[in-house]
Amino acid sequence: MVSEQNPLPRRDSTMAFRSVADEGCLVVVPSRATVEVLNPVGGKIYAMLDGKHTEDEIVHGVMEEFEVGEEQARRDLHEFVSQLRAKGMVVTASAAEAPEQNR
Amino acid sequence: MSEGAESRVHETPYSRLMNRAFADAVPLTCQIEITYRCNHLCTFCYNSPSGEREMTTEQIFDVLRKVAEFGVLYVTLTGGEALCHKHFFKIAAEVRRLGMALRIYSNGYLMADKKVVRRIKELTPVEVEISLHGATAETHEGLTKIKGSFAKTVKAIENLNEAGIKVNLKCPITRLNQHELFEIKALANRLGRYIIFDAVITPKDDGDLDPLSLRAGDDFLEKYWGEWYAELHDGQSPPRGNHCESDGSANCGTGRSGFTIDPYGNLLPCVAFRRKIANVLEIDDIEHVWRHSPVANEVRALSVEAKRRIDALGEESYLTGFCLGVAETQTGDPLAFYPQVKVNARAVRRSYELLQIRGGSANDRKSA
Repeated sequence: MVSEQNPLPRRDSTMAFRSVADEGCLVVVPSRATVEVLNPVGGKIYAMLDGKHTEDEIVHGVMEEFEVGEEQARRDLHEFVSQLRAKGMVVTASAAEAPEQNR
Repeated sequence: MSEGAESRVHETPYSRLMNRAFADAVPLTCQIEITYRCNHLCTFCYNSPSGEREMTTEQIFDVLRKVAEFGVLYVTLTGGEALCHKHFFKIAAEVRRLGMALRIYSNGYLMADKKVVRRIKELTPVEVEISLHGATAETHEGLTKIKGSFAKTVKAIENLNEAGIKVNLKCPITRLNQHELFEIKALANRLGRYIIFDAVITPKDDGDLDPLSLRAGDDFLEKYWGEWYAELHDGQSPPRGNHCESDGSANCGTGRSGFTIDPYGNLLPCVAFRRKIANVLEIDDIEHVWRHSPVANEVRALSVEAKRRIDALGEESYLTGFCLGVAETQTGDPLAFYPQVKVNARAVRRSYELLQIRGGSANDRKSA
Protein backbone atom coordinates (compact mmCIF):
# COMPACT_ATOMS: atom_id res chain seq x y z
CA MET A 1 0.00 0.00 0.00
CA VAL A 2 1.26 3.48 -0.81
CA SER A 3 0.88 6.01 2.01
CA GLU A 4 2.72 8.87 3.64
CA GLN A 5 4.49 6.36 5.89
CA ASN A 6 5.06 3.96 3.02
CA PRO A 7 5.75 6.19 0.01
CA LEU A 8 5.89 5.22 -3.63
CA PRO A 9 9.01 3.15 -4.28
CA ARG A 10 11.10 3.41 -7.43
CA ARG A 11 12.22 0.69 -9.75
CA ASP A 12 15.50 -0.99 -8.93
CA SER A 13 18.12 0.57 -11.20
CA THR A 14 20.07 -2.71 -11.36
CA MET A 15 17.22 -4.20 -13.40
CA ALA A 16 17.29 -3.56 -17.12
CA PHE A 17 13.90 -3.10 -18.71
CA ARG A 18 12.55 -2.52 -22.17
CA SER A 19 9.15 -2.00 -23.74
CA VAL A 20 8.43 -3.98 -26.91
CA ALA A 21 6.04 -2.11 -29.20
CA ASP A 22 2.60 -2.10 -27.53
CA GLU A 23 2.94 -5.67 -26.26
CA GLY A 24 4.43 -5.00 -22.85
CA CYS A 25 7.72 -4.80 -21.09
CA LEU A 26 10.62 -7.13 -20.22
CA VAL A 27 12.45 -6.66 -16.93
CA VAL A 28 15.70 -8.52 -16.27
CA VAL A 29 16.20 -9.44 -12.61
CA PRO A 30 19.92 -10.22 -12.27
CA SER A 31 19.75 -11.49 -8.69
CA ARG A 32 17.40 -14.25 -9.81
CA ALA A 33 18.77 -14.48 -13.37
CA THR A 34 15.19 -14.31 -14.63
CA VAL A 35 13.08 -12.12 -16.88
CA GLU A 36 9.73 -10.79 -15.72
CA VAL A 37 7.11 -9.84 -18.27
CA LEU A 38 4.80 -6.92 -17.63
CA ASN A 39 1.70 -6.14 -19.64
CA PRO A 40 1.40 -2.68 -21.21
CA VAL A 41 -0.25 -1.13 -18.13
CA GLY A 42 2.38 -2.62 -15.84
CA GLY A 43 5.10 -1.48 -18.21
CA LYS A 44 3.73 2.07 -18.16
CA ILE A 45 3.67 2.14 -14.36
CA TYR A 46 7.10 0.54 -14.06
CA ALA A 47 8.61 3.10 -16.43
CA MET A 48 7.14 5.93 -14.35
CA LEU A 49 8.40 4.52 -11.05
CA ASP A 50 11.60 6.50 -11.50
CA GLY A 51 11.54 8.46 -8.26
CA LYS A 52 10.55 11.59 -10.16
CA HIS A 53 6.87 11.00 -10.89
CA THR A 54 4.32 11.38 -8.12
CA GLU A 55 1.50 8.94 -7.49
CA ASP A 56 -1.00 11.33 -9.06
CA GLU A 57 1.13 11.72 -12.15
CA ILE A 58 1.36 7.94 -12.58
CA VAL A 59 -2.37 7.51 -12.05
CA HIS A 60 -3.11 10.17 -14.66
CA GLY A 61 -0.54 8.66 -17.02
CA VAL A 62 -2.37 5.33 -16.83
CA MET A 63 -5.79 6.99 -17.19
CA GLU A 64 -4.70 8.84 -20.33
CA GLU A 65 -3.13 5.88 -22.06
CA PHE A 66 -5.50 3.08 -21.11
CA GLU A 67 -8.85 4.80 -20.66
CA VAL A 68 -9.62 3.69 -17.10
CA GLY A 69 -11.17 5.75 -14.31
CA GLU A 70 -9.12 7.34 -11.57
CA GLU A 71 -10.34 5.05 -8.82
CA GLN A 72 -9.51 1.96 -10.84
CA ALA A 73 -6.11 3.30 -11.93
CA ARG A 74 -5.15 4.13 -8.35
CA ARG A 75 -6.26 0.75 -7.06
CA ASP A 76 -4.31 -0.96 -9.82
CA LEU A 77 -1.22 1.09 -9.04
CA HIS A 78 -1.34 0.09 -5.37
CA GLU A 79 -1.86 -3.59 -6.16
CA PHE A 80 0.89 -3.54 -8.74
CA VAL A 81 3.36 -1.85 -6.41
CA SER A 82 2.61 -4.54 -3.81
CA GLN A 83 3.41 -7.21 -6.37
CA LEU A 84 6.62 -5.46 -7.35
CA ARG A 85 7.63 -5.19 -3.69
CA ALA A 86 6.96 -8.89 -3.16
CA LYS A 87 9.17 -9.71 -6.12
CA GLY A 88 11.93 -7.37 -4.98
CA MET A 89 11.68 -5.32 -8.16
CA VAL A 90 11.48 -1.89 -6.49
CA VAL A 91 13.42 -0.12 -3.78
CA THR A 92 12.30 2.53 -1.36
CA ALA A 93 12.83 5.98 -2.84
CA SER A 94 15.38 6.98 -0.23
CA ALA A 95 17.51 3.91 -0.94
CA ALA A 96 17.65 4.65 -4.65
CA GLU A 97 20.27 7.18 -5.57
CA ALA A 98 21.87 6.08 -8.80
CA PRO A 99 20.72 8.09 -11.81
CA GLU A 100 19.27 6.14 -14.70
CA GLN A 101 17.90 6.85 -18.10
CA ASN A 102 14.39 6.30 -19.32
CA ARG A 103 14.23 3.51 -21.86
CA MET B 1 -8.49 -5.72 -9.93
CA SER B 2 -9.02 -4.51 -13.47
CA GLU B 3 -8.42 -6.81 -16.42
CA GLY B 4 -5.35 -4.77 -17.24
CA ALA B 5 -3.74 -5.30 -13.88
CA GLU B 6 -4.60 -8.96 -13.54
CA SER B 7 -1.64 -10.28 -15.49
CA ARG B 8 0.95 -7.60 -15.06
CA VAL B 9 3.51 -9.67 -13.28
CA HIS B 10 3.81 -13.13 -14.75
CA GLU B 11 5.97 -15.12 -17.13
CA THR B 12 3.80 -16.76 -19.76
CA PRO B 13 3.62 -13.87 -22.31
CA TYR B 14 7.41 -13.92 -22.67
CA SER B 15 7.38 -15.72 -25.99
CA ARG B 16 4.72 -13.34 -27.31
CA LEU B 17 6.97 -10.37 -26.62
CA MET B 18 9.99 -12.12 -28.05
CA ASN B 19 8.10 -13.01 -31.21
CA ARG B 20 6.93 -9.43 -31.59
CA ALA B 21 10.48 -8.14 -31.12
CA PHE B 22 11.70 -10.70 -33.67
CA ALA B 23 9.03 -9.78 -36.21
CA ASP B 24 9.74 -6.05 -35.84
CA ALA B 25 13.53 -6.61 -35.86
CA VAL B 26 13.81 -4.99 -32.43
CA PRO B 27 17.19 -6.20 -31.17
CA LEU B 28 17.22 -7.04 -27.47
CA THR B 29 20.80 -8.25 -27.32
CA CYS B 30 24.18 -6.85 -28.29
CA GLN B 31 27.42 -8.78 -28.21
CA ILE B 32 30.48 -6.57 -27.94
CA GLU B 33 33.92 -7.99 -28.65
CA ILE B 34 35.88 -5.53 -26.54
CA THR B 35 39.26 -6.95 -27.52
CA TYR B 36 40.79 -9.74 -29.57
CA ARG B 37 43.48 -10.20 -26.92
CA CYS B 38 43.28 -13.59 -25.28
CA ASN B 39 45.21 -15.66 -22.76
CA HIS B 40 44.40 -18.90 -24.64
CA LEU B 41 45.58 -20.12 -28.04
CA CYS B 42 42.59 -22.21 -29.13
CA THR B 43 43.33 -23.51 -32.59
CA PHE B 44 39.67 -23.55 -33.63
CA CYS B 45 39.03 -19.91 -32.64
CA TYR B 46 37.12 -17.98 -35.32
CA ASN B 47 38.54 -14.54 -34.44
CA SER B 48 40.56 -12.89 -37.20
CA PRO B 49 42.22 -9.71 -35.94
CA SER B 50 42.85 -7.39 -38.89
CA GLY B 51 45.70 -5.48 -37.28
CA GLU B 52 43.66 -2.28 -37.05
CA ARG B 53 43.74 -0.33 -33.81
CA GLU B 54 41.12 -1.57 -31.38
CA MET B 55 38.68 0.88 -29.80
CA THR B 56 39.91 2.83 -26.82
CA THR B 57 37.98 2.54 -23.58
CA GLU B 58 36.47 5.98 -24.20
CA GLN B 59 35.32 4.85 -27.62
CA ILE B 60 33.79 1.72 -26.11
CA PHE B 61 31.91 3.99 -23.67
CA ASP B 62 30.64 5.99 -26.66
CA VAL B 63 29.48 2.77 -28.33
CA LEU B 64 27.74 1.63 -25.14
CA ARG B 65 25.89 4.93 -24.88
CA LYS B 66 24.59 4.52 -28.42
CA VAL B 67 23.65 0.90 -27.76
CA ALA B 68 21.70 1.96 -24.64
CA GLU B 69 19.97 4.76 -26.57
CA PHE B 70 18.93 2.16 -29.14
CA GLY B 71 17.12 0.35 -26.31
CA VAL B 72 19.11 -2.88 -26.08
CA LEU B 73 18.29 -4.99 -23.01
CA TYR B 74 21.28 -7.35 -22.75
CA VAL B 75 24.93 -6.60 -23.47
CA THR B 76 27.32 -9.54 -23.70
CA LEU B 77 30.97 -8.68 -23.22
CA THR B 78 33.22 -11.06 -25.08
CA GLY B 79 36.47 -11.16 -27.03
CA GLY B 80 39.03 -12.61 -27.49
CA GLU B 81 38.93 -12.96 -23.76
CA ALA B 82 36.91 -10.06 -22.37
CA LEU B 83 38.76 -10.10 -19.06
CA CYS B 84 42.05 -9.51 -20.87
CA HIS B 85 40.92 -5.94 -21.57
CA LYS B 86 42.74 -3.78 -19.06
CA HIS B 87 39.57 -1.80 -18.35
CA PHE B 88 37.13 -4.73 -18.37
CA PHE B 89 35.60 -3.80 -15.03
CA LYS B 90 35.13 -0.15 -15.98
CA ILE B 91 33.44 -1.20 -19.20
CA ALA B 92 31.21 -3.75 -17.47
CA ALA B 93 30.26 -1.19 -14.82
CA GLU B 94 29.32 1.24 -17.58
CA VAL B 95 27.00 -1.37 -19.11
CA ARG B 96 25.20 -1.62 -15.79
CA ARG B 97 25.22 2.14 -15.16
CA LEU B 98 23.45 2.60 -18.48
CA GLY B 99 20.71 0.26 -17.27
CA MET B 100 21.47 -2.76 -19.44
CA ALA B 101 21.72 -6.36 -18.26
CA LEU B 102 25.21 -7.86 -18.39
CA ARG B 103 26.39 -11.21 -19.71
CA ILE B 104 30.03 -12.24 -19.82
CA TYR B 105 31.54 -14.83 -22.14
CA SER B 106 34.88 -16.05 -20.85
CA ASN B 107 37.32 -18.94 -20.75
CA GLY B 108 37.28 -18.55 -16.97
CA TYR B 109 41.04 -18.53 -16.61
CA LEU B 110 41.24 -15.28 -14.65
CA MET B 111 38.19 -16.13 -12.56
CA ALA B 112 40.17 -18.78 -10.71
CA ASP B 113 41.09 -15.80 -8.54
CA LYS B 114 38.35 -15.23 -5.97
CA LYS B 115 39.08 -11.51 -5.88
CA VAL B 116 38.17 -11.29 -9.57
CA VAL B 117 34.93 -13.18 -8.94
CA ARG B 118 34.05 -10.85 -6.06
CA ARG B 119 34.38 -7.89 -8.44
CA ILE B 120 32.22 -9.68 -11.02
CA LYS B 121 29.59 -10.34 -8.35
CA GLU B 122 29.43 -6.59 -7.67
CA LEU B 123 28.45 -6.07 -11.32
CA THR B 124 25.34 -8.27 -10.81
CA PRO B 125 25.66 -10.04 -14.16
CA VAL B 126 22.69 -12.06 -15.35
CA GLU B 127 25.03 -14.89 -16.23
CA VAL B 128 28.59 -15.86 -17.03
CA GLU B 129 29.22 -18.34 -19.83
CA ILE B 130 32.37 -20.42 -19.57
CA SER B 131 33.95 -22.64 -22.22
CA LEU B 132 34.96 -26.11 -21.06
CA HIS B 133 36.84 -28.17 -23.63
CA GLY B 134 37.50 -31.42 -21.84
CA ALA B 135 37.00 -33.54 -18.76
CA THR B 136 40.75 -33.80 -18.23
CA ALA B 137 43.64 -31.37 -18.31
CA GLU B 138 45.15 -33.26 -21.22
CA THR B 139 42.11 -32.78 -23.45
CA HIS B 140 41.17 -29.26 -22.35
CA GLU B 141 44.71 -28.00 -22.65
CA GLY B 142 45.21 -29.84 -25.93
CA LEU B 143 42.73 -27.33 -27.33
CA THR B 144 43.57 -24.20 -25.33
CA LYS B 145 47.34 -24.79 -25.60
CA ILE B 146 47.78 -23.28 -22.13
CA LYS B 147 49.20 -25.46 -19.38
CA GLY B 148 47.20 -25.22 -16.18
CA SER B 149 44.12 -23.79 -17.91
CA PHE B 150 41.90 -26.78 -17.08
CA ALA B 151 42.39 -26.50 -13.31
CA LYS B 152 41.85 -22.74 -13.48
CA THR B 153 38.65 -23.04 -15.51
CA VAL B 154 37.21 -25.63 -13.12
CA LYS B 155 38.23 -23.47 -10.17
CA ALA B 156 36.55 -20.48 -11.82
CA ILE B 157 33.27 -22.37 -12.13
CA GLU B 158 33.49 -23.38 -8.47
CA ASN B 159 34.21 -19.77 -7.48
CA LEU B 160 31.28 -18.46 -9.51
CA ASN B 161 29.03 -21.11 -7.96
CA GLU B 162 30.17 -20.12 -4.50
CA ALA B 163 29.43 -16.48 -5.27
CA GLY B 164 25.90 -17.38 -6.39
CA ILE B 165 26.43 -16.23 -9.97
CA LYS B 166 24.54 -18.09 -12.69
CA VAL B 167 26.96 -20.01 -14.89
CA ASN B 168 26.32 -21.66 -18.24
CA LEU B 169 28.89 -23.98 -19.70
CA LYS B 170 29.53 -24.59 -23.36
CA CYS B 171 31.72 -27.06 -25.17
CA PRO B 172 32.58 -26.88 -28.85
CA ILE B 173 32.92 -30.47 -30.05
CA THR B 174 36.16 -31.23 -31.86
CA ARG B 175 38.14 -34.30 -32.88
CA LEU B 176 40.22 -33.79 -29.74
CA ASN B 177 37.39 -33.98 -27.19
CA GLN B 178 34.71 -36.04 -28.97
CA HIS B 179 35.81 -39.17 -27.11
CA GLU B 180 34.96 -37.81 -23.67
CA LEU B 181 31.70 -35.91 -24.05
CA PHE B 182 30.00 -38.05 -21.41
CA GLU B 183 32.85 -37.39 -19.00
CA ILE B 184 32.54 -33.65 -19.73
CA LYS B 185 28.80 -33.92 -19.08
CA ALA B 186 29.53 -35.73 -15.80
CA LEU B 187 31.97 -32.99 -14.81
CA ALA B 188 29.37 -30.33 -15.56
CA ASN B 189 26.86 -32.26 -13.46
CA ARG B 190 29.35 -32.47 -10.63
CA LEU B 191 29.80 -28.70 -10.89
CA GLY B 192 26.01 -28.34 -10.83
CA ARG B 193 25.82 -26.63 -14.21
CA TYR B 194 24.14 -27.31 -17.53
CA ILE B 195 26.46 -27.65 -20.49
CA ILE B 196 25.64 -26.95 -24.11
CA PHE B 197 27.59 -28.93 -26.67
CA ASP B 198 28.14 -27.24 -30.00
CA ALA B 199 28.85 -29.54 -32.92
CA VAL B 200 29.51 -26.71 -35.37
CA ILE B 201 33.10 -25.62 -35.81
CA THR B 202 33.18 -22.60 -38.09
CA PRO B 203 35.85 -21.19 -40.39
CA LYS B 204 37.72 -18.14 -39.19
CA ASP B 205 36.01 -14.81 -39.77
CA ASP B 206 38.45 -14.05 -42.61
CA GLY B 207 37.50 -17.26 -44.42
CA ASP B 208 40.48 -19.34 -43.27
CA LEU B 209 39.23 -22.93 -43.22
CA ASP B 210 41.93 -24.28 -40.87
CA PRO B 211 39.59 -24.67 -37.86
CA LEU B 212 37.50 -27.14 -39.87
CA SER B 213 40.33 -29.64 -39.68
CA LEU B 214 39.41 -30.05 -36.00
CA ARG B 215 35.79 -30.81 -36.77
CA ALA B 216 34.47 -34.07 -35.34
CA GLY B 217 34.16 -36.91 -37.81
CA ASP B 218 30.94 -37.68 -39.69
CA ASP B 219 30.54 -41.10 -38.04
CA PHE B 220 30.82 -39.50 -34.64
CA LEU B 221 28.35 -36.74 -35.52
CA GLU B 222 25.74 -39.29 -36.62
CA LYS B 223 25.97 -40.97 -33.21
CA TYR B 224 26.01 -37.61 -31.43
CA TRP B 225 22.80 -36.37 -33.04
CA GLY B 226 21.15 -39.76 -32.88
CA GLU B 227 22.04 -42.02 -29.97
CA TRP B 228 23.71 -39.59 -27.62
CA TYR B 229 22.07 -36.19 -27.98
CA ALA B 230 19.25 -36.68 -25.49
CA GLU B 231 21.52 -38.11 -22.83
CA LEU B 232 23.98 -35.28 -23.22
CA HIS B 233 21.22 -32.66 -23.07
CA ASP B 234 19.09 -33.82 -20.17
CA GLY B 235 16.54 -35.55 -22.37
CA GLN B 236 16.10 -32.86 -24.99
CA SER B 237 15.52 -33.85 -28.61
CA PRO B 238 17.95 -32.50 -31.20
CA PRO B 239 16.78 -29.18 -32.61
CA ARG B 240 15.32 -29.33 -36.09
CA GLY B 241 16.10 -25.72 -36.87
CA ASN B 242 18.54 -23.00 -36.01
CA HIS B 243 18.94 -22.47 -32.27
CA CYS B 244 18.11 -18.75 -32.54
CA GLU B 245 15.05 -19.20 -34.72
CA SER B 246 12.15 -17.45 -33.06
CA ASP B 247 8.78 -16.90 -34.68
CA GLY B 248 9.39 -19.16 -37.65
CA SER B 249 9.47 -16.38 -40.22
CA ALA B 250 13.24 -16.45 -40.70
CA ASN B 251 16.08 -18.96 -40.36
CA CYS B 252 17.64 -17.16 -37.42
CA GLY B 253 17.91 -13.86 -35.63
CA THR B 254 20.70 -12.38 -37.70
CA GLY B 255 20.08 -8.68 -38.27
CA ARG B 256 16.94 -9.02 -36.22
CA SER B 257 17.05 -10.15 -32.59
CA GLY B 258 20.53 -8.88 -31.83
CA PHE B 259 23.78 -7.63 -33.28
CA THR B 260 27.52 -7.75 -32.74
CA ILE B 261 30.13 -5.01 -32.50
CA ASP B 262 33.74 -5.97 -33.14
CA PRO B 263 36.82 -4.45 -31.42
CA TYR B 264 37.08 -1.84 -34.19
CA GLY B 265 33.54 -0.57 -33.67
CA ASN B 266 32.01 -2.30 -36.69
CA LEU B 267 28.32 -3.09 -36.39
CA LEU B 268 27.60 -6.63 -37.67
CA PRO B 269 24.26 -8.48 -38.08
CA CYS B 270 25.39 -11.20 -35.66
CA VAL B 271 28.54 -12.88 -34.40
CA ALA B 272 28.65 -15.33 -37.31
CA PHE B 273 27.40 -13.25 -40.27
CA ARG B 274 30.03 -10.53 -40.34
CA ARG B 275 28.88 -8.19 -43.07
CA LYS B 276 29.65 -4.66 -41.95
CA ILE B 277 26.51 -2.55 -41.53
CA ALA B 278 28.32 0.56 -40.28
CA ASN B 279 31.00 1.67 -37.86
CA VAL B 280 29.28 2.75 -34.65
CA LEU B 281 31.99 5.34 -33.98
CA GLU B 282 31.05 7.10 -37.22
CA ILE B 283 27.29 7.30 -36.72
CA ASP B 284 25.11 9.16 -34.23
CA ASP B 285 22.13 6.85 -34.15
CA ILE B 286 22.24 3.05 -34.43
CA GLU B 287 18.46 2.75 -34.87
CA HIS B 288 18.39 4.76 -38.10
CA VAL B 289 21.18 2.68 -39.61
CA TRP B 290 19.64 -0.57 -38.37
CA ARG B 291 16.33 0.26 -40.04
CA HIS B 292 17.63 1.71 -43.29
CA SER B 293 20.98 0.09 -44.02
CA PRO B 294 20.85 -1.89 -47.30
CA VAL B 295 23.19 -4.44 -45.69
CA ALA B 296 20.93 -4.99 -42.67
CA ASN B 297 17.85 -5.23 -44.87
CA GLU B 298 19.55 -7.68 -47.21
CA VAL B 299 20.69 -9.86 -44.31
CA ARG B 300 17.15 -9.98 -42.91
CA ALA B 301 15.79 -10.87 -46.34
CA LEU B 302 18.42 -13.58 -46.76
CA SER B 303 17.41 -15.16 -43.46
CA VAL B 304 13.77 -15.22 -44.58
CA GLU B 305 14.81 -16.74 -47.90
CA ALA B 306 16.94 -19.37 -46.15
CA LYS B 307 13.95 -20.36 -44.05
CA ARG B 308 11.79 -20.60 -47.18
CA ARG B 309 14.33 -22.83 -48.91
CA ILE B 310 14.72 -25.09 -45.89
CA ASP B 311 10.96 -25.44 -45.48
CA ALA B 312 10.70 -26.27 -49.18
CA LEU B 313 12.86 -29.33 -48.58
CA GLY B 314 9.90 -30.93 -46.80
CA GLU B 315 11.03 -34.22 -45.32
CA GLU B 316 14.64 -33.17 -45.72
CA SER B 317 14.23 -29.98 -43.70
CA TYR B 318 16.29 -31.03 -40.71
CA LEU B 319 18.98 -28.44 -41.27
CA THR B 320 20.00 -28.10 -37.66
CA GLY B 321 21.98 -24.96 -37.10
CA PHE B 322 22.12 -23.74 -40.68
CA CYS B 323 24.10 -20.52 -40.47
CA LEU B 324 24.17 -17.93 -43.24
CA GLY B 325 27.48 -16.62 -41.96
CA VAL B 326 29.18 -20.00 -42.12
CA ALA B 327 27.67 -20.59 -45.56
CA GLU B 328 29.01 -17.29 -46.86
CA THR B 329 32.45 -17.70 -45.31
CA GLN B 330 32.80 -21.26 -46.49
CA THR B 331 31.17 -21.21 -49.90
CA GLY B 332 30.75 -17.55 -50.84
CA ASP B 333 26.98 -18.03 -50.94
CA PRO B 334 25.02 -17.33 -47.71
CA LEU B 335 22.22 -19.58 -48.91
CA ALA B 336 24.33 -22.60 -49.84
CA PHE B 337 23.86 -25.75 -47.77
CA TYR B 338 27.47 -26.42 -46.81
CA PRO B 339 28.75 -29.96 -46.13
CA GLN B 340 28.66 -29.97 -42.29
CA VAL B 341 25.05 -28.87 -42.13
CA LYS B 342 24.04 -31.63 -44.55
CA VAL B 343 25.74 -34.26 -42.39
CA ASN B 344 24.02 -32.90 -39.30
CA ALA B 345 20.67 -32.80 -41.10
CA ARG B 346 20.93 -36.46 -42.16
CA ALA B 347 21.81 -37.50 -38.62
CA VAL B 348 19.04 -35.48 -36.99
CA ARG B 349 16.52 -36.83 -39.49
CA ARG B 350 17.60 -40.39 -38.73
CA SER B 351 17.27 -39.63 -35.04
CA TYR B 352 13.68 -38.46 -35.47
CA GLU B 353 12.84 -41.47 -37.62
CA LEU B 354 14.13 -43.77 -34.89
CA LEU B 355 12.07 -41.93 -32.31
CA GLN B 356 8.95 -42.36 -34.43
CA ILE B 357 9.61 -46.07 -34.68
CA ARG B 358 9.96 -46.18 -30.91
CA GLY B 359 6.73 -44.17 -30.61
CA GLY B 360 7.92 -41.29 -28.50
CA SER B 361 10.11 -38.28 -28.16
CA ALA B 362 13.54 -38.07 -26.67
CA ASN B 363 11.95 -36.46 -23.65
CA ASP B 364 9.61 -39.45 -23.26
CA ARG B 365 12.60 -41.73 -23.48
CA LYS B 366 14.26 -39.98 -20.58
CA SER B 367 11.25 -40.01 -18.29
CA ALA B 368 10.65 -43.68 -19.08
